[in-house]
Amino acid sequence: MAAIEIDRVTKRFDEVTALDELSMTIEEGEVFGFLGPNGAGKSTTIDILLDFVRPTSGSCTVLGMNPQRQPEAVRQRVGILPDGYHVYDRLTGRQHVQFAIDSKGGDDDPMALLERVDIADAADRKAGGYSKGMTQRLVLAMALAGEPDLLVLDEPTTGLDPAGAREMRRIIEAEVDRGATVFFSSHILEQVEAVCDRVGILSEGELVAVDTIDNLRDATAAGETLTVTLSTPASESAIADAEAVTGVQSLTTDGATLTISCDGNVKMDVLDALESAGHEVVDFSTEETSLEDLFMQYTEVNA
Amino acid sequence: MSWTAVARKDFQDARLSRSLWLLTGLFVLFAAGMAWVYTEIEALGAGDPQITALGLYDFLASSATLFVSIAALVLAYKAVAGERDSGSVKLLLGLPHSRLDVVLGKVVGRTATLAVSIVLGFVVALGVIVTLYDAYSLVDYALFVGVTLLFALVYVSLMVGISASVSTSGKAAALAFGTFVVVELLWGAVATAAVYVANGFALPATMAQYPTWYFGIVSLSPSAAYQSALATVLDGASTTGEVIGGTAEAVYLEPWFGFVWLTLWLLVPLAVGAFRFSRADL
Repeated sequence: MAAIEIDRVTKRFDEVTALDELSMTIEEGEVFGFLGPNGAGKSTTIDILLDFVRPTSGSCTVLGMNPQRQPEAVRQRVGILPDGYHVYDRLTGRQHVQFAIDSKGGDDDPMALLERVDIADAADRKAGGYSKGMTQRLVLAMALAGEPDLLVLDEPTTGLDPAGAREMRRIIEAEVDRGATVFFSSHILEQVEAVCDRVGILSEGELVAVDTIDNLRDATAAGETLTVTLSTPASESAIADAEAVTGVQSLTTDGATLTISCDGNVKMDVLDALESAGHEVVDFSTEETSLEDLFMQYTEVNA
Repeated sequence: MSWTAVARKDFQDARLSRSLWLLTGLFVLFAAGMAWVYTEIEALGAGDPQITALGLYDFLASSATLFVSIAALVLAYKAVAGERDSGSVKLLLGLPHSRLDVVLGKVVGRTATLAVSIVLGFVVALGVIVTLYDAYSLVDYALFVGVTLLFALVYVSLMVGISASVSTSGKAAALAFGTFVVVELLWGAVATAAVYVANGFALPATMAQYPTWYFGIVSLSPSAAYQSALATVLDGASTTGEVIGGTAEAVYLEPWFGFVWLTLWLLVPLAVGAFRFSRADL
């Protein structure tokens, strides 16, 4: 069964179309990264999955249930870290987590959850005095209450320092090991790259790509940029041999330095070709096309 | 039945509100002060001690209507709309609560919060009464406090209903304050205006010529209904409802009908608010 199934969902706010016939499926047990620039419709999609807003047309299921018809049953099994939320300033961290536990009818230990997100020492302080990062951790602890089958995290690393972001990743991995599905949106691409099985890229309310990161990288023109320094300027035949290697898209020379755009898995073939043509490779370096570049390519083409 | 979790959370949250404690402090002073002031007035024209004690309830009730209505407004107008404004509603509804649970939980949580203040004020006032009066009935006093708590529930429900029916605190504040002004301060004028229109844009020459339904309108405002209800349980107490309805014959002018009006104020605005909230995009 799919954890999330979205079928031709359209959402219009007055005259603005936030989502346009969006369809996608997230399988159980996967970590799915939902990417897109601000305003692309990521939060609207999440809001529809949780019945915060209702689609103009189309339908969706979460864990096999329709959130418009059974919102409580859906939320009983989903842990949510929403975007643009606000905590109850006058309540302590522990009271927040206890409220989440009570609401789900569970018997988790609130302190254990606060320890998982590393704010146990602030458990009895009012959440109004928490920093942005601590607040984010608190709401994550609330989301983890009741061992949800699906975690929906909207921009989870907002406000977290790099160490906090790493911890967030560790928690996501632990949740996946437990058997949970994780659906999270982000524009911080490195985070997505590190933990996601698949990503979907949303641009102006439409899904422009869904695939594994490797496949997306292969599907775009430049997978990798390889820079090779030879002991002597490259000969014509060496250049021709290198260009002939399958997977090489382009090659430019600047004296003894070659800059080669190629697929990620062919750099050894290129180096072999140059050495068999009689050159000595002094140095080489590769630069992976970042997800950022990929992302820009997808969203700009469609913009 | 997850409204209980919402109510508990809301009670924890709202009772820490500073404005509530300020209002409570004022009410404690006010209730105790009213009980004391009444002894001074009573000294001017002493009468039957039984009547005296009943007159005190009228005196206390008039301060209670003002306190309860204002406190309910302050305490509850942001109950739902404020959470939509700030985004905390996403935390609340990210948990397995229905929107109706949220609305009901708010009514119960905020009423409990207000009840603490009311009980506190009346306990202090009871201290004054016990000290200064020879004759008083604890049963009557308990009934009086009970009906006042019902009135608090009604007012909180009205304000939560208003809060649930709009999307921002600003709109909720305007609507709540407007409702308060019309229902508490201008209600007599509203009833008169209705007569004026129905009578062909002229007022009847004498009060006796006013139609019966005019008194019905006057007696249906929440505070008039509260005083009618009080008259029903506190046998013999003079009330607005009885005074204005004294000459006319209609079932809705019977003092017990105050409970019917209170029930309508309790349910109708809340139902409208809950319905609008259940259909809203957050």
